[in-house]
Amino acid sequence: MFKELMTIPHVVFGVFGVLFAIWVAVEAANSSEGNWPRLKLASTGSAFFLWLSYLFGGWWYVVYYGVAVPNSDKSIILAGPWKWSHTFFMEAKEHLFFMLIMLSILLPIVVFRNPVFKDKKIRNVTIVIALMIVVLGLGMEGFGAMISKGVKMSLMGGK
Amino acid sequence: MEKRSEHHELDKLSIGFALSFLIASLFNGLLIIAKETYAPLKDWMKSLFGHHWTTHGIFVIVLFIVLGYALSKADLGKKIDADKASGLVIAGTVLGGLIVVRFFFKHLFE
Repeated sequence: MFKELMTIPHVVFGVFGVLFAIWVAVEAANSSEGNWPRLKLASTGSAFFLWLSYLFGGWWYVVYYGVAVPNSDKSIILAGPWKWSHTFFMEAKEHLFFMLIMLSILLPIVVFRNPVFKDKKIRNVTIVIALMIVVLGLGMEGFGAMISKGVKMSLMGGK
Repeated sequence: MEKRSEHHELDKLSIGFALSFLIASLFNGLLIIAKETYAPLKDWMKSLFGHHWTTHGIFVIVLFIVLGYALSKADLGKKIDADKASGLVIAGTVLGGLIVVRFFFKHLFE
């Protein structure tokens, strides 16, 4: 049961990371000196949750998903009709995630070290980084759904 | 309350890390191609931290951080303003993403 429950943190923390990035975009679009502390909080929160998602997801991937035993998710997918849910979606997802992690580091650097509320261009770069996190993050969620479906298709015999 | 119409330059650390993001994203994609087409590299990466993906992540993130700090020491402020930094972030996301997706795309039709 522990193994199954530990699939939850990766997904939930990832969603939190995306939600905090949306919060950053909204605060930056309406930035003023008064909401700079909230911008700092939201950007830190996005980085914090995306890193938690990375660490939990990475641990689960290495320890459970990809191990060379017949009942690992990877083995089950590759034995079924949706092999590409691993060979495309998982392979792409696990490597695109690194870009998400880099953006999660860049976002608070920009927010903490620049007066976002004073300069339109700095406000825009903040919004751009946040939106890239949102786009990649939502992509991760979609890819994750396809991977889960790949396991299901194998267990259902491809029907 | 201060107005946001004033002009402020993006600080050096932000510029360094924005440029580093583009470079590290491209490196991320190229490292996939290298390790997937040259098995000894993948085996070596696996031997370092137990799994090639773990090593891959460490390489990419460490490169991003080290390069970010190094580039922040360079005087890039006159060449890269906040608008160009936005372009670097978009380019890094799109190009880095396309390399990854393009490389694995062939598997969709297997």
